[in-house]
Amino acid sequence: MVIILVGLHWLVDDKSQLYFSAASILQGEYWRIISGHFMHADGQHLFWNSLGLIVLGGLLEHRSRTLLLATIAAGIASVSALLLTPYAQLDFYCGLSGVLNSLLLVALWFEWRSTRSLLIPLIACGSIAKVIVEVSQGTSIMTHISWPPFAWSHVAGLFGGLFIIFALAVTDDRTMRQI
Amino acid sequence: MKTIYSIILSLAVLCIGTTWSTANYAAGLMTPTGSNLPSLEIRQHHVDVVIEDGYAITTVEQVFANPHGTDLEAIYSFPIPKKAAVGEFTYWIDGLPVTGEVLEKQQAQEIYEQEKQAGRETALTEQDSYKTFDISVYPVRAGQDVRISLTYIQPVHIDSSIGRYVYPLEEGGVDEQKLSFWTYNEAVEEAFSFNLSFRSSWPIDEFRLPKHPQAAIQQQSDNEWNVSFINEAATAEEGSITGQSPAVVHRLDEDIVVYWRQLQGLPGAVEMVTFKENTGDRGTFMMTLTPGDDLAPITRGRDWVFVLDFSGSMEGKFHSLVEGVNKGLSKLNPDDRFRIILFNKQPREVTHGFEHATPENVQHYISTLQSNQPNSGTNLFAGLNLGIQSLDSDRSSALILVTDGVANLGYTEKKDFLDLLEQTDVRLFTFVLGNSSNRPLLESMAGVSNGFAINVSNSDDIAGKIMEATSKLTHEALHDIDFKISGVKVSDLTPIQPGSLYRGQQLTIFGHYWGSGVATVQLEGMVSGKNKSYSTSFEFPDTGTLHPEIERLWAFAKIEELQSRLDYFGGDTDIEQAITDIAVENSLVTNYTSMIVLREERYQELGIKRLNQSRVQKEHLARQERMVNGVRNNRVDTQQPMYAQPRASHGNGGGAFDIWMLVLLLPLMLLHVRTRKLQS
Repeated sequence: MVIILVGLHWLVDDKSQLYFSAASILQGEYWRIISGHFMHADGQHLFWNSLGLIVLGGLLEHRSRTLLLATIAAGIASVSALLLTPYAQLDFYCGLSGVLNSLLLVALWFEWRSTRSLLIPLIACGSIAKVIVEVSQGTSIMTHISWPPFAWSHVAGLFGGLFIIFALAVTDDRTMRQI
Repeated sequence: MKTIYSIILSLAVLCIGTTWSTANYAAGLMTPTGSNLPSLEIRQHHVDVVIEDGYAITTVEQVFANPHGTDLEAIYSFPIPKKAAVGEFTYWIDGLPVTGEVLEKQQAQEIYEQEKQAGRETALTEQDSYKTFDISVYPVRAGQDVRISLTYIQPVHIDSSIGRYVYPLEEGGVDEQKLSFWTYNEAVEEAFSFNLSFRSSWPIDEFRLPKHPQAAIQQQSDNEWNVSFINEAATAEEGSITGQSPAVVHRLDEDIVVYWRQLQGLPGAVEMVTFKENTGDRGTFMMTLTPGDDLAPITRGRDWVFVLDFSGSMEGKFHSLVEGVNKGLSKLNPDDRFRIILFNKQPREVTHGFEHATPENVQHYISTLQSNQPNSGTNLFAGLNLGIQSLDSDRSSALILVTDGVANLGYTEKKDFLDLLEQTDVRLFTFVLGNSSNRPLLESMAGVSNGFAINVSNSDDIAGKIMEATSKLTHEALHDIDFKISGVKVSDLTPIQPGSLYRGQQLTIFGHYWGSGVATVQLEGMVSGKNKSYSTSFEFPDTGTLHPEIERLWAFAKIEELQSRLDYFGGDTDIEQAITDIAVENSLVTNYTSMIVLREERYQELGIKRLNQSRVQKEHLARQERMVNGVRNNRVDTQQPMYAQPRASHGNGGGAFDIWMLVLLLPLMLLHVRTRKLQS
């Protein structure tokens, strides 16, 4: 999947055809619902999100590839739903960071179930604090990508993760044991 | 939306094409081609820019050297920056700076020649139509240097929360007669520096110089930034500037474009700066309206007419443009229709009336375009005229004009173009490439048709220009704007007719006022046939001495408006005299006035009043005071906001993981590995 991210970034000449654009999607360019999350604004944007995908994707794939794909799908659905509302007011959106927040929440939940380590709530608090700061300040904290940040996509991503956790919680014990 | 992309893509590829093409012409010292005169050297070139309170002050200091055995005259030429009012020109005589005075153009030329003949130090700054500022300096003594400095002021506009400043250096290469006569020396041999200080009450997110990544960008606070880069001889000798001889530290052949981005979500606002020395005086104001983002997106289909410059100056750019059109047309909606017009000395329609964008049609017309080679002159009028013909009155139409040149064949008078556009219900969107296009003509045409003009430099960020155009073409616009101020006596407002405002654009109004007190400002216009009105009230101050420069900015805006009227209605000695009077009173270089520097005693001997000297001193004192004071908030509608919505931005968003997340994820990863080991 990281190879896909890198390939899309370096091999696609006309990236504007793949960015998430609510107006274009409403006119039938449905591929943007998925492709927008896999496009990146610049090298720095790509690097950090790829790193996030390697770590979080690795943690979930270790448990179940299906779980990883389901979480990514939930993240895409959740962030896209936000971007399609008038609230978002974005012409274009790109980047996997919203979806990575879905992966983060699900990964934390599984690690908590396995270890009950106090580190997990600490990491969760740190992550949520980052999102709160970004949303309230309207700016990224430690990265300066060439597009303005849209921190609400991270909030939407967390909701995608919550959906997966909820779905797993209500499913039968056998599924959970398999994971 | 697809339609918009097609247009934007065309323009993007065109812009990339212009970037690929080598810039053959630049700002520089001119020597007559084929003459026996030895050429002079540009030793130093230092650019100092201060951007605050809605305008930029650019000071260019240069040192010319004469390595030869005879005294010589230096003539330096550079493209006219957009809306630049030149008000200060200094020549160091006997080691002391002497400020120039503005006179009528012919008088200034005569005095310059007279002083030159007498062997006395003199310098002259003239405007060559809309194309260049030409600086003549005499003498550059054998084996010695001369130092000159030029300062110009220009309003700074924010578009969709992005600010843009251009220091123009590239010559467009469209004035063939001039280029065949002069040889340019654009090499700086000792030191080049560019320093930009930025202060704004609106917080800035980031700065960017697309073509100058070596620039050091320092953020002093959210509101204060500094951008600088220096090329000096020592650096060049170390070989850091590749492809140039060690003696050349910088070439003046590439525009310096600086962008800054405001934080998202800032409110729409009205800002005002004033200058009024005493209570009873006439005051001057500069009011900047940054509208809220309340213009709805356009969804209906339209007809698009591409009118593409096919003249000789497009050589090297045209095939890139065709490639862009190809990409664009292949993505058109079936409901949208297009026509393609090419023009050089004759216009020619490539299509046969409006065509539907079937793949067969697109392939056919692109092949036809590809088989052409640009050449010959520029009959812009004929191209436009053909583009306007056969528009379908039942459908919404837009005309996209892309040109890098000037109208030099057929009808060339501005009036003819404006008449043509006024007779037709079509929006003209003009993309002005490079620094030598007839910008006043192209901008006036766009204004008359309620369209817009976008300037594109080879140093521009292509993605940025795409977003700027997209944002406007995809949204409704506020047309037929009427602007009123009541409660305080005002006059000499400029622009008199603001025309249209597209999404993201600001409106800047200059004017004079008397007295003080609370005024009501009302802005009305039409959006898709419906009336829309905004209003606010705020105080006009009794006095204000921090911004003397806005007197010149008002004068420059007024002169532009008068010049436009002159172009439209033809020769009118009253208007010409009015321009001259305003320019002399405010010490501005125009088509009718020039700035001359003489030895200090010669001003008195020739009876020339030192009006500009005292104005410049006043401006320098105000600049020092502004530097000492903190960043000012010039917003005046805080109590009664004029706009309910936040200002427009390009509305793109992204987000990235960062070191913070990495620090959080590392223990998570270690925990996971440890747990797995224990389990296994």
